[in-house]
Amino acid sequence: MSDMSKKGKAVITVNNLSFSYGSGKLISDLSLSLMQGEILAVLGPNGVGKTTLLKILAGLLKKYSGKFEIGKEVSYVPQIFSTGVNYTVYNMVLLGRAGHLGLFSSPGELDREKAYEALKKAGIEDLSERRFSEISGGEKQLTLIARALASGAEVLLLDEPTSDLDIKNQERMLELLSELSLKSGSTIIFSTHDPSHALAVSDRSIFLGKGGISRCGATEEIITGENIKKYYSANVKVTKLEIEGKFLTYCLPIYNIIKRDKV
Amino acid sequence: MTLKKIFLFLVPAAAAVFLTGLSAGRYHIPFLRVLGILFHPLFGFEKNWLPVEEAVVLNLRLPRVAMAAVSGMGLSVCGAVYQGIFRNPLVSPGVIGVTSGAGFGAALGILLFGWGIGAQLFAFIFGFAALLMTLSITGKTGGNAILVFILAGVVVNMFFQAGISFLKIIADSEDQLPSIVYWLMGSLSQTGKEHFFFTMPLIIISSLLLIAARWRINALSLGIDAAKSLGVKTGESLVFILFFSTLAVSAVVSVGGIVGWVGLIVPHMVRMVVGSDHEKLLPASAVAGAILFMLIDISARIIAPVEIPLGVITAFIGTPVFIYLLVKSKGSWVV
Repeated sequence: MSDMSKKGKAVITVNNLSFSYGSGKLISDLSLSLMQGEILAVLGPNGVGKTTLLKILAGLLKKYSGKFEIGKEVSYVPQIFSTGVNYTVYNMVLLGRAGHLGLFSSPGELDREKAYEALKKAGIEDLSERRFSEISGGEKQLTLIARALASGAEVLLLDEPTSDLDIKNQERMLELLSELSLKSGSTIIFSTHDPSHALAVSDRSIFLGKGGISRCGATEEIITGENIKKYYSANVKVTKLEIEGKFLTYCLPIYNIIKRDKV
Repeated sequence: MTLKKIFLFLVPAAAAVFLTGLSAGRYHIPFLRVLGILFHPLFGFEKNWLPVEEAVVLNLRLPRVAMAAVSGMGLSVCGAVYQGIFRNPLVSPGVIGVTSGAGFGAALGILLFGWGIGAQLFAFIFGFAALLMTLSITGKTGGNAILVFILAGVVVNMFFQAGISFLKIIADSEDQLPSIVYWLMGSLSQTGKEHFFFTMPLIIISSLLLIAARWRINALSLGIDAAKSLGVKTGESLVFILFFSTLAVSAVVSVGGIVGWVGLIVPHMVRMVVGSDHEKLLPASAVAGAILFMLIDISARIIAPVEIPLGVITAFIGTPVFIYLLVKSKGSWVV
């Protein structure tokens, strides 16, 4: 919590947040804070409460204890989006304006402009007339992020935005996240299974583990071989590589595989 | 297709079917005479028709055809709204138990006080009771609220169906039973001028309010959590929708009995033409539903010497239409 002294205002502060499902503790005494424009990556094995944490912050789960404060305009982008609806991409993004419109109103000129801006920010304006059900998984993710942007959200809560994407789309998504944080000042929390993604874009990271344990801090300090061993029981090497003149930090898994002898 | 183009087709079609409904029946009255009778008060045409024809058109057929149109509109709008917010293509106005509840209430009312305002009032009371039962079962569980809601509706439906069966057993088999049975299978033969003043305006206002909220229904069709995370007041919206749809459906049942299928297939047929956007789907379903219901009521009157229950006709039409839609679209019209 020493980071409260940093410049800028804290957009998100969480104090001693706990959450239990039935008898088991999922999240216990979690505290963190995030400045405007910062990106936080949420890591941890399956079933430790990454989605739960995002849902609590999004206001979708109520039965937690502890306190948190979060900016007014928060938008949550879920992990799996069941594709029941068959709207165009543009109409899908336009629905981001729903929170600003009354029960009997339809979107007006301003709403349409904001939706178009959001499409441009996400780089998917060419898709605007395509059907949501017909576009690829990566394009769907980008559409949902555009929808969150159209809502005017300052805080984006993204549940595994890179999980179903191919390598190119993962790159595009990570670039979009850092661009949103730098250019638009969006504060972003995203969950991921890839520590390299956290190392690539996030300022801060948090590990969630079994039994409610957690550890939060600056990304380079948090994402270490030691912590990944502790939280995932996986062997990795976190290493800085010089690629095309830039130093980038990666988390490389160390597989223990016996190869067949070559004949 | 734009809404304007669709209305350019649907509205004249509705008017034509409406006039056919006034003209057709056991006692055929030619179109021109029907027009003369209808517009006589406005233009003062020379009366070239018999008083009995005027009585048939104005006192018997006009309330009945109007009630058919209004019922079709109400059921189709509610069906489209439910399919949207519950994100399930098999949902119809009957799914949350309201039709059975209202049917039970009206049947009980008929047993106790005969046809009239008492039976109507009971339809509303038990329609809302069914809704509250469904809601309270849902409230006691966590998890997938929508799925639980639909299952709870199925259970409440069965409960009131059992109640209806019980009422049939204890009804006087000489007098009350036949009228209850015929009415429950769907019949507008009880429609009278009095329905112009209460029942029909109620259904029209409820449907118009639901149509007015059409863009909000688009947002809700993303799923409750998604809508909530976009800042939509989901609780308020659902209360509004459930209240007015229950009002409309109970009002339809209180006059015409339990008529299935219309609220299920009309939104699907319309969706194949205009798409899923509720901005177009709801207004178009309203008019298409009115047309279909009027056609069904006309068929009920002219197919056989005895009047055929509406529910029988809708099931005969609805089943093949539904299968056709299902096969033709390979199931892709899921909301």
